[in-house]
Amino acid sequence: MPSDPVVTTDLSVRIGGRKVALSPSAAFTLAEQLIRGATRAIIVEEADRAAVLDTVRAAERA
Amino acid sequence: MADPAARAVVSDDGSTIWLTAYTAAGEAVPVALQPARAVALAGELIEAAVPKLNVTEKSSVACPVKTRGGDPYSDQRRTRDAKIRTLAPLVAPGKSIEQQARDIAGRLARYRPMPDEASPERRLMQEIVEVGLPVGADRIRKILGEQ
Repeated sequence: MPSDPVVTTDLSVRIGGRKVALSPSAAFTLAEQLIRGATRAIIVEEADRAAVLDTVRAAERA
Repeated sequence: MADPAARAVVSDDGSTIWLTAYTAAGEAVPVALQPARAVALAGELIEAAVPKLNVTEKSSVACPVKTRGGDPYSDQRRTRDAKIRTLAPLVAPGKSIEQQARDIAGRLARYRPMPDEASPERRLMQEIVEVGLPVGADRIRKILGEQ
């Protein structure tokens, strides 16, 4: 598995041994997409957890 | 030394966030990210991008926002009003708002500061006068009515 991405001060991101040079707007776009993806994943995870808890509680009550 | 790649792309299959570097030849190097790591990486990208924008950050301290209209003395007015509300039960306890407003207005009109104000009422009056905004009985009545 490639190593964790690293952002460098010259505004590049290293992804698994590859270095991608970014413009400021490309960096902001990438940041926005990462935050959107992370937010979606966190919401889905929370919803799943709540659903599991509901199922467990319902089973306990039965 | 890292090999140069053409672009970085974020994708999301609903459960995993992928950050993929694509080379000019079309080779893809994907890396899976945890949501927390994705947010942290976004922060690092923004932090690195901001200095490259070549714009001077304008803070509200260096370049105060010019307000159109509004009350330029709102802070002083708020301070003064709060002190008037504190003063009212000290100088005219149990009286109606109208009576309290008249009493306070009369006292403020007669008030002359002393070097060492000891009593709480006189100290409050001193602070109200020092705010520098004139206030009459009608205005005081409104201030006390807003409580």
